[in-house]
Amino acid sequence: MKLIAIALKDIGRSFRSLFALVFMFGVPVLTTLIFAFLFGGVGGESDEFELPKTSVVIVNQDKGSNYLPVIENQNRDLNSFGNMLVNILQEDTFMNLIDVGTADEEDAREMVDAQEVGLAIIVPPEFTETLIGVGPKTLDLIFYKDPEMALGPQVVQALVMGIVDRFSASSISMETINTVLAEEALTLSDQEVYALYSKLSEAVQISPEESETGMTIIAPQEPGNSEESPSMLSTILREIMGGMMIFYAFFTGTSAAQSILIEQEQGTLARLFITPTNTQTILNGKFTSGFILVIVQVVTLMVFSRLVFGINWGSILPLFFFVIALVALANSFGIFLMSLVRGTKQAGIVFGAGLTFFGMLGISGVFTGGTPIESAFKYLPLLAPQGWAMKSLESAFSNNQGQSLLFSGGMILLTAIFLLIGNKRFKKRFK
Amino acid sequence: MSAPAIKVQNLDKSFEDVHAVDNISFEIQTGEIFSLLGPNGAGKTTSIGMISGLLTPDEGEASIIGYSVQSNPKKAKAELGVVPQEIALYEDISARANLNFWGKMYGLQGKERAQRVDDILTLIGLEDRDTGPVSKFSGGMKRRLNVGIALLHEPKVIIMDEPTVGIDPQSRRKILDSVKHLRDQGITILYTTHYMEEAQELSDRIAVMDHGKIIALGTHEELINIVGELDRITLAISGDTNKVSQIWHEIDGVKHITIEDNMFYLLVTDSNQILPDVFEAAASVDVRINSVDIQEPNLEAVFLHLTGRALRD
Repeated sequence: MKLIAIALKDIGRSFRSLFALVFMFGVPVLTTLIFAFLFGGVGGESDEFELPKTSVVIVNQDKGSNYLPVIENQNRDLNSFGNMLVNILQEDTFMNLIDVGTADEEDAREMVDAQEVGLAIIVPPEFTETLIGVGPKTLDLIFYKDPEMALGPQVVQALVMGIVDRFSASSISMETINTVLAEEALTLSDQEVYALYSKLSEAVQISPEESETGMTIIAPQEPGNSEESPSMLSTILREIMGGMMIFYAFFTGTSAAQSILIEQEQGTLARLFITPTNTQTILNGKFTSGFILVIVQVVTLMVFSRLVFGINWGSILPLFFFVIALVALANSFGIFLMSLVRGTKQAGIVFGAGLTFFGMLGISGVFTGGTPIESAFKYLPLLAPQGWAMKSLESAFSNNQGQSLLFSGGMILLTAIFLLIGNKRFKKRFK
Repeated sequence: MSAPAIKVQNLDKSFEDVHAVDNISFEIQTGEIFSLLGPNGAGKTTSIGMISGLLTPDEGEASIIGYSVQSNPKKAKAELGVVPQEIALYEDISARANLNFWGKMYGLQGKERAQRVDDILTLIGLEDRDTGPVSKFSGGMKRRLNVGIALLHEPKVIIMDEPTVGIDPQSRRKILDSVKHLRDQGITILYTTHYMEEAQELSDRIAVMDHGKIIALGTHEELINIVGELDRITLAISGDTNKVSQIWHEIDGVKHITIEDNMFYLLVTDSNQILPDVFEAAASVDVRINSVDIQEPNLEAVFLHLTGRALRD
């Protein structure tokens, strides 16, 4: 069959190209490996990567507030948000992530300078008062970090900021209650204020697993229970590997489509057109090679990362539809892009600028999660086809099958549009 | 009576402002070598593009062994082998892999294809170089493989578009000999070239093309008769070209003069008789003659006679 012959020829040529192989397999794996090394999880005796513990020292200068009630929790007095912060960070949930100690400010800074700890958190005296609106309007919560330990302290800082956000939310709630009551010309007695803060203080003590800060905090994994509960590192690597896989799948799809332009310039496409083979069969053969290449790339990367990084890719059904949709979209987008350009010189610009821009935009959620700009990037990636793929994969990760299938359906719709336009333009060009 | 091997009727093609092929018609009979001769840009490759089905004509039709290229392309193309002007090979794979792939494209299967690939490798002298990548081949070897692919499916008609451009004399000779060999096997060949000697040596009939039109068509002898028994004298001079041109026009027996830069092309009745007068006239206006070349009537002279321009590379 001529279509298969054309596809196999193109696939064979791609696998002979070192450049293509590096982009298909080398770069995605290397990028994930770099992250794995940065998190310190490669080369251990365990099959599962583990994020190394970050030593943290807290300088808790918070003097609390009379408005904040005392909550009995593990026999410790929690009459300030500063104490609550220390208490939360010392919970069992984080025992595999951080070692928390306390010290005065001078000692804490010296410990960081001497690299005995990775991070010192200096909680100012008015921390509680500011949060409940009776102290200074602003205050500085100081994170004094070891500059040579970029990731561990960064993770802890993001975690602390999430907790502080929750403290702040409770205070905003209190302020809102006061405002509403004031509008109704009502006032609360000291006992009623005390009781409300008591409730809010309990609320902020909830497990960080339920946090809405954007950071997913996952409890330490039980041995032999990896399917149900992936480790934090494998979750991070899963996001990165997924993003890289999507990013480079689009490169492979576009590279496969570029072979049409390369053959046009080399004269072999014209030679194909003068054989007794119709134009659509030739184009379909070239499209098929792209589909097969991306399938091989995606499946290889998934299996490789499952075996080497222990990545759990989630439920099979949404994953299956995601892979099909990704393969189709990556190729059709490549065909569409290549149909817009006249030659390989212009295609180089598409590769260098266009595909990189759309790719980075599409997978931006991987790098903005848990950061202040996360909300801005909630829907922006959907402007790029890669964004639809990332959303489908993330939904599959979080076992939201319906949403994953919805995004995969969107990808198929985009595929149809790109393929229709690309094929029409190519047929018109080679008429 | 069987259909002509190639029939071209009123083919016409324009690209934006350029009228590349202007209403050409001709027929080529089975077993004939037919050359399209013309300078670069004459419209030869565009004509071949339409005859082979690569380009769609604005008007007119071409057929191969009775099958219309435009309305029945699959059957027409199956009877046709094309040697493109540019080398069109997959250079990162071997000669054998190239032949196997193109064999599949022409519908050759299994053992038949394997046998044809072996035959062609032997025919083009690459049987010992069949496994390495084509990128390691010399220009001549690539040209031979380029020709070999067109012969794989044993077509009844072969179109060769300037197959000897840019190759060494040895490879050129091999290709010209292979064209004659194919003709001897009864294969019809449409050959384009801007080398007058090739058209002269190979062709049963020649169509001379210029600016998209066929300006003359016939056997070699018929074309020569267009210019009669005129000799061509080519002279390189230094001096006043206007003066010398004027004085040479007055010499009895000089029929036509073409000037390009400092080169003069004179069509004359008898070069031996006229040449002393040419030298004397040049001396009389202080023009120095640097070189002289005398040629018997040939296709170059025909082209010069018909267009007023030299048929040059």
